[in-house]
Amino acid sequence: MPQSDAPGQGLEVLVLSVSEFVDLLNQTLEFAYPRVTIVGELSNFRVSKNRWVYFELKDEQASIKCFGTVYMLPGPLEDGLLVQISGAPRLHPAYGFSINLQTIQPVGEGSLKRAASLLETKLRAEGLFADERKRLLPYPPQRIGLITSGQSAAYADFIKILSQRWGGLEVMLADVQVQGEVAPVQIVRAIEHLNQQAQPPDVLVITRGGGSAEDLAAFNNESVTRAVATSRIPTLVAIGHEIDLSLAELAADQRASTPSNAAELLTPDKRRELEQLGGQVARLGVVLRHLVASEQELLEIIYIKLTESLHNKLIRASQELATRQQLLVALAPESILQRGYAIVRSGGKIIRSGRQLQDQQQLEVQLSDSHVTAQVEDIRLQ
Amino acid sequence: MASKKLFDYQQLQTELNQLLESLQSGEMDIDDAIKAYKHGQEIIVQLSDYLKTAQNTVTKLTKDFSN
Repeated sequence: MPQSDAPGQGLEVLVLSVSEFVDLLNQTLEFAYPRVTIVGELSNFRVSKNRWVYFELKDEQASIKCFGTVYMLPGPLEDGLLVQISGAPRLHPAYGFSINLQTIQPVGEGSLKRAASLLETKLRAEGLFADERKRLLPYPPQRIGLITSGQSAAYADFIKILSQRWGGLEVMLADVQVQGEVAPVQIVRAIEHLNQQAQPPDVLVITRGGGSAEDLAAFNNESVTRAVATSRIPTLVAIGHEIDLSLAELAADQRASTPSNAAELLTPDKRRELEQLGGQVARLGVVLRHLVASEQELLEIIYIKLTESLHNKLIRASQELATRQQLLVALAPESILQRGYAIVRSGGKIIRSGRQLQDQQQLEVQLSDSHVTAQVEDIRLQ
Repeated sequence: MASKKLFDYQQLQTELNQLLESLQSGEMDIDDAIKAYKHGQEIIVQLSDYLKTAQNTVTKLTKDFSN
């Protein structure tokens, strides 16, 4: 309980217990400095029980203690790195003054590269960048999940090139910040959100234009890199720079050098496709003409065979007819009469046997060139 | 997101290639070949129309990723 004292000149002095002082100071800090951002060198960095993070932030003259959890870390860190932290200053009743960490990021090109290198070593050992994890991207995809800033040139470039090359695609834009403190969280949430869609996109494109090492820091963030690597939807990461690949690019199924290049990798060029279709029209025509020609050839062969067959049948029939005609001629009564035979009739009836005859019977005998009347004189039956 | 059936360019292109291969194999009779030819022409018209007219659509997800 605060107590007043009045030494000497009547001024009241506030007397506090230690705990009361700590409470008062924390209230004051919370009111005056709810969140501070400080840049300094990392020192005495240590992780306890795989959960708690302790370190000191220092410069040439001063040093302050910081406390947080491993979930706030952008990746592995080490002493000597220049980092920017944000957090709430607090006076702990037992352990003294510290900053309760909210965010921590390496700053400066050297520190960013070193932190990225540490994280790369760790994730590579886990196999996150292994070639066998890479999946083929659908070509062309029908639905694209696009994770980028909707106001950026990267977005405009990607959409422009995509439209020039292919049509009928659905682009689902997750409008996120691609740099700054909140970028990693937003990118990770966007990846998760698109993966949870009832009709998820066929591919995720995570892209931004080039920038400084600090601008691109989100793409070397551990959470972002893991989210890219574990996405069920295949990923294409395109960061507009040519040197030093980011870890998100290493973790992606495919990388592209720029947002425009990402659109090119995902889609065929419709102008070239139209040319090829023209070629296929011609090919179709050639194939059919060839088939028709073959069929005509076949028909001609069949016609020739039919004609030949008919001709042969006609010849055979004609020969047969001639043979029969010869036979007929040979068998005609006139031919027989010419060979010396005669036809004997009596009363107009042909006489075939002597038994039909009687003596003195009148006969008409037909020879080849005349008719003769004769009379039976003698009958000798055989 | 609407669950409409998207135009499947690749599927039609594959169908066209298979049709061309069947035609070229010479094993198809002329009636089937003429049918295949007509179907092939229809596919090519569909594909060409798609390439000439299809537009991309962009839908911005309403979710706020900062929360």
